[in-house]
Amino acid sequence: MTMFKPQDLKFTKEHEWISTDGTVGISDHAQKELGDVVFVELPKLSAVLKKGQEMGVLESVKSVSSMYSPVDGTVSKVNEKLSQAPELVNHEPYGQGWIARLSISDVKQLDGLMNYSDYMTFIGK
Amino acid sequence: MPQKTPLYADHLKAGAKLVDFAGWLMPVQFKGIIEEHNAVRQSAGIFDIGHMGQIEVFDKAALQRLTTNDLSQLSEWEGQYSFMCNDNGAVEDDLIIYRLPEKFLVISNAVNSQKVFAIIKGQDPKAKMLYDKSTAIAVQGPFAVEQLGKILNKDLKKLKHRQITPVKIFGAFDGLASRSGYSGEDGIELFFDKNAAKDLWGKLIMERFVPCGLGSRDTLRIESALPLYGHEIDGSTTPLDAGFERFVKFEKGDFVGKDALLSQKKSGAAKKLIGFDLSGRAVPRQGHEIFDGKKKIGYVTSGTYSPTLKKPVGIAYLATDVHGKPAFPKILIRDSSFEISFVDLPFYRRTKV
Repeated sequence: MTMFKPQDLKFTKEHEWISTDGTVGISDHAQKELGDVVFVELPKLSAVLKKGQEMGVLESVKSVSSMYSPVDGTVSKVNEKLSQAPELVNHEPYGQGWIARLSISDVKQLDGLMNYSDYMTFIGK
Repeated sequence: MPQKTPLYADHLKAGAKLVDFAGWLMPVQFKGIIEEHNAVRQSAGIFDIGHMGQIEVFDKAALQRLTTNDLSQLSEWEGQYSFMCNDNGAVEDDLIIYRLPEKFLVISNAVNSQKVFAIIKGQDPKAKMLYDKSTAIAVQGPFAVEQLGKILNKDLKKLKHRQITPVKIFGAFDGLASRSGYSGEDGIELFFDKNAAKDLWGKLIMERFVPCGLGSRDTLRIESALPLYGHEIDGSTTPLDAGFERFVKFEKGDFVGKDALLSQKKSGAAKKLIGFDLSGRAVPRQGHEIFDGKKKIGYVTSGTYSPTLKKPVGIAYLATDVHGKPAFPKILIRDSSFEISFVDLPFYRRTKV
């Protein structure tokens, strides 16, 4: 798994990112807010998700947070490594800490998401 | 407007994540909760506890009436754990009370400090809240006592548990060092002139003490089953509910809440505090409910992922009318049911050397 450049990704207001190939994760800002992630509940393979539908849960030492599908799609792959090494979400949110891959139903939905600089503005950076 | 300890600017500069805790802007973490937790278990960590109330009390009889433990058993330069209750026996706050020459020093929870001060002041008009001149740092971990002793030029290892002694910080600033803490490790709590706060904190960091926030303070105290006001104890809980009858001295004479606590002692507490863990991949949190089959039998007061045991653990109140041990107790977390196992508290006990 190569590292994505955040500049190449699209972001949601719920702090997920998605790449053009459908890979989904949470932003660096989100992992910092969560703190040490200890469990990741991954979506089920082949699950059909609507944009905004819950696709996973992240438990950190301090809190719990749901993540939501950035677009309509079908889960084609999940990051099994996170079962053993949930801390990857903290260490490499744009790389080995990816959550799942979607086969995107309608790529036009990506246009409705924020690019990196819009997202930085959104989180006040 | 939240209050700030003398170290607020230092925490900000260090990149700590700050939160409003009980009306104080406090660091929840510096580098990460697990890293800070492990530093305290394995070497030495430091906590800014300047938000905690420090109250000087002069009227011994008044303080004896307002608290449940027995001050007559306390020698000079010693501390005791105690409760302040209301007439119903419910907990107003849990306290550490130190006996100093001619006075007492009462340490209260930040969230209750103004309430506790008002109650004490009502009985002892000379009582003083020390926020204006004093602050506090906790130094915790297996290396904490010896290493801090070197910095303060004082052999702190001679102190017994909850003994307190005067110290000079940098040879100039007055302070008190108590062998105590809230982490389950050996350690010292320093109550001292707030003018020395920034320099001492900086010196401790230079000497490689690890700055720790409220996040690891919580995971450490949960592993050690130390109660927290608003969780295991609160205005609807008595010391007996929480299993702390040993800090309630019925034979000492009259005190606030005595009648209610005596009658509860006769009838028995309606709930009891227990520990549990789970092998499922979820973390118990305050308010989660515990079931035996379909019957609700209890609720979680504190829970976390234990960095030491590397599994989720929780503390809960169970109804005492639950007969025997439920065979298959379960916890409901996010609409899913997880099996739990009852385990003895504390989850973690340090090996004394």
